[in-house]
Amino acid sequence: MTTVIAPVATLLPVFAPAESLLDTGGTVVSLLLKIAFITVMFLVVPLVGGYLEHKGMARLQNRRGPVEAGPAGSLQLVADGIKFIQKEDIIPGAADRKVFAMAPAIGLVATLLSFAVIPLAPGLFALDLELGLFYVLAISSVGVLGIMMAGWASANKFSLIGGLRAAAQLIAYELPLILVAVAVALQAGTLSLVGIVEAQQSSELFGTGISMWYVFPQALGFGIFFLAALAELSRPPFDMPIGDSELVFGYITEYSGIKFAMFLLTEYAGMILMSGLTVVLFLGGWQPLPGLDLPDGALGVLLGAGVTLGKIMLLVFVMIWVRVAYPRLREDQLQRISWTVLVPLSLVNLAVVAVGKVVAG
Amino acid sequence: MSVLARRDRALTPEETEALLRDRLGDGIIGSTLAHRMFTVHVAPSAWVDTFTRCRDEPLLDFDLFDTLHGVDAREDGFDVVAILYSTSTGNRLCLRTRCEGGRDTPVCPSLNDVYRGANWMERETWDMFGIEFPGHPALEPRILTVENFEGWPLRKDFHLASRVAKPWPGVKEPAELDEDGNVIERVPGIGDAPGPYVLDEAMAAQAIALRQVSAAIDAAAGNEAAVASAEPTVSDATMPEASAPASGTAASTDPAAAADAARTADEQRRAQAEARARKAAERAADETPEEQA
Amino acid sequence: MSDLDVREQLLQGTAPGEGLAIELVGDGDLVTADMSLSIGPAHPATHGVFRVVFEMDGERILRAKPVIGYMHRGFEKLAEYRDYRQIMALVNRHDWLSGFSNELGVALAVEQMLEMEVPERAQWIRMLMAEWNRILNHLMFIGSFALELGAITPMFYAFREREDIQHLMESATGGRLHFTYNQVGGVKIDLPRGFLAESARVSKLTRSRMPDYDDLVLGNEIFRGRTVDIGPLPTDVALSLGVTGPALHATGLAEDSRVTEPYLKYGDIDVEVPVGRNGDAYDRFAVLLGRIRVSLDIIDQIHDHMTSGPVNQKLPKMVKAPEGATYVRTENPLGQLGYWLESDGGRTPWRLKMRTPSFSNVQAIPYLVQGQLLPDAISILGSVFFVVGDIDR
Repeated sequence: MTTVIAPVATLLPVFAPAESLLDTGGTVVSLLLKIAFITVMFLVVPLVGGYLEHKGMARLQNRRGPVEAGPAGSLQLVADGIKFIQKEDIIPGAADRKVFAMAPAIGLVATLLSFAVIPLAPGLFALDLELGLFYVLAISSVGVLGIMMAGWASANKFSLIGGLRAAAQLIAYELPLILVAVAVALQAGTLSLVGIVEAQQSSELFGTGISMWYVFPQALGFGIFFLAALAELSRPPFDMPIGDSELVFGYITEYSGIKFAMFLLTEYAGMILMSGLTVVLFLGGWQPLPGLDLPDGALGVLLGAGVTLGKIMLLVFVMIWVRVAYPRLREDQLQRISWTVLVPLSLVNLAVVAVGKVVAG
Repeated sequence: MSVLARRDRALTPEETEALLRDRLGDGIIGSTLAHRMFTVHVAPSAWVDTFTRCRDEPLLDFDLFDTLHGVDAREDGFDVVAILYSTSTGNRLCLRTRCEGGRDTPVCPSLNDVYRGANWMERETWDMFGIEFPGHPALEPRILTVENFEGWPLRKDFHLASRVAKPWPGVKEPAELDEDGNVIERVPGIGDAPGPYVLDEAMAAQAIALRQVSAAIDAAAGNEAAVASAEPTVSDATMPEASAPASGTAASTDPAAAADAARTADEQRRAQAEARARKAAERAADETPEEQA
Repeated sequence: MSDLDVREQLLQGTAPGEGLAIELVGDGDLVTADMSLSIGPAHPATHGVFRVVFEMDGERILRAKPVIGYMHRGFEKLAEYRDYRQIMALVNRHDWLSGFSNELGVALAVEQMLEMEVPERAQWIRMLMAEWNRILNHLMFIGSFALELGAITPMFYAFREREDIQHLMESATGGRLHFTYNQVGGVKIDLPRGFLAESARVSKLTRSRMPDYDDLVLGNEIFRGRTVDIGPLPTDVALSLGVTGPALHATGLAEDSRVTEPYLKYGDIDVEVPVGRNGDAYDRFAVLLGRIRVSLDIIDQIHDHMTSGPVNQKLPKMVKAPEGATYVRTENPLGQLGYWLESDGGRTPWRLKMRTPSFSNVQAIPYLVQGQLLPDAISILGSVFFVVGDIDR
């Protein structure tokens, strides 16, 4: 076995993690900086996404949206958060109290951990792991465990059905999601998220010298990834686990107060995370336009972060747009789309990318 | 099949009755044609057969089961009325039967096997009149009233609870009219429940008092416009006799007064604010002793 | 007792709160049992206090049992204690989305018993209002049905139109839900000045916005996927159950009393009845949309036909229907509304039976949802179009 692997291993470049700007001023300061970075990504950016959802949805629906809390209603989610904290935390009598209490935390932690490897700008990230992509996909799918726990522990039939639907959905959509991500990793030649962004900057369209992002050769993959991400997040039109007209509120039915707020935060953070991942894998990360590089220094970092966040918000808006425009699918229709359409297509995508990689050199 | 396909071959009421009499013999007791509705009176024993005929007889073809309900027939017991409609001929037929068992144990055969729609209709009739329908799969639990409800609400000997508790407030009760249809003026006596009009007067008096107080304060603050606008509102909203002072309305339309009001708008606003502050202070002064007590 | 003990008892069904807990079935591998799931009385999909108990195997429904009566207010009993003028204010409350059409039925029944001639202008006004009321009602269901399938936007679009129409009706009747505009012998008061011009404007505006619903809902792939061939209803079953209105038209039978038994002046104008193919949820919805267009056509025709003249009859102080019974059927927005009026010659009716469309239509639900999946059952519940007050009365 080693005789086969060893020569292959020597072909691979040795991984040198990119240097993070947050690694300054000793261990303690660096740690605090990284915690601050993840907290901002987890708490502040989702609030902006949530505000975009409030206002964007309202505009698309002929409404005004929140106007009272803060300038143009921008603090509505903060006000909601304060309200949730004050509310009574109700636990149903028949609930499995420990599991019930743990469930919201699991989803939250999974999303929180994933933000560690998302790069915002050159040098602006908490960690650059060699297996960054693998890490994100592995950790983010832990979240569904929390959903299943919530569904079971609530001792409510609607919650149970919601939890089971979420699990079925995860199994169906994890596969195309990973297969598409593999194709990206194959083209980039690395699993590091920073590496993938950098590889996109230097990549050329079929050797013509024109710079491009992976969204162009892998448009199919991009579509599949975005669709699967929607399904994994239980966003409409794939919100069957919540499905308020069928399951009241699915696995969240029995939750109230701060625990409900945690689920809500996880959902918004999940939107940011999946959009961030899509930006990194397909949309060139912090690069403003294909072939247009950022200036060096602090300005470049700032601009890069702005560009990444702008792209993320653009994708979040698309998610909102889809939510406004479409009704909900049925669980079996969703499974059919996944197994009979998306999985074969993502395999085709993988094969095409692999052939292209070999042909192109 | 399209709607009203056999409109020209629809049977007249007489023909319908003749056909039913031919098929069912003594089961058909008689018929009436009044108020544009043709009713066939059926004996309870022939009730189910009549409906089966009505449905299956090609000339009749009554396919739409419209409604079924009970009617209180005084000392004779209860009637069950069902209405059928034919979408091909456009005919409507009303079938009526007198339940067996008088007022104590009214019974009528069930149509559940003939028309699916009879299921809930019969449950409702049982719920409302206590008419039993032998052959119905399950009349219980009560379909509209609560499960432990006692009595049969639509029977005439079941009185409306709110009319037993207190008479109809005011003069709008239909029973308060004489034979010629003239309203009998009724002055509520002691012990009669207070009608809404009594309450209205008390509230109106209160509202007038409040308005007068605030108008007085506004007048003290030199705000004539506010006084003027307060007056007509009182007259509109409350008592007719309060509409007598029309001077306020005249003041508000007087151009000189309006110009004056515009010129001193700032002063008025300031005066109003002061008045408000004074009122708040008075209120605070009123409340403090109570709190201490 | 610790929480764990309580939980144990709840699971065994020995403690209060039984039925809340999930039953544990056997302890072997892959032991399954049917689950009973109660949708309602307070569930988002029932829009009102209506309950359906599903017996389910996984997500598939084996049996369904609707439980009604949560909103029974005894209207039929109350009507026996009110004179014909007061009943108007009572009947516009059972189906609160079509108040005007309900009043119309009672007014027609009393007029039929009195053999009263209603002034021509009053009849045209009644038709105009009835059609606007129908559109109001249908728009509500267009929004709510889409909402039940998870699309939130059509509701807001529908309310944009509803608001215009309600302003229009309010200007004539003074009411937004309970119009109380009919009276025996005509309508309460003539139309305000400029009403017909405004009505024509709103009609044009509403028509110009109808393609929005075609694009947003009817043409939506997911909407089609969720409704086509879901809950088909054969015509004969529908008739046997007494199902009428859009649910019956969807089965392909154009049985509409405006055409088959014209009342008011419907005989003088063209009324088209949109029909469906096989009575599935998609057809029911498409028929509903088609009916809005038909109503707009009717409204335009009424504008052309509108005459001048009195709008009501001079009535005696107390209207008394002669002895006897009659049945009047009108095409309410949700289906056929029938009033059976039996009088003993007194001031109040002896019996007023309200044959409401929702009551008969809801009866079809057990038939429709049997063997369907839970999400489809929600789609069927939404597409039968009922108002809970109209079921329970």
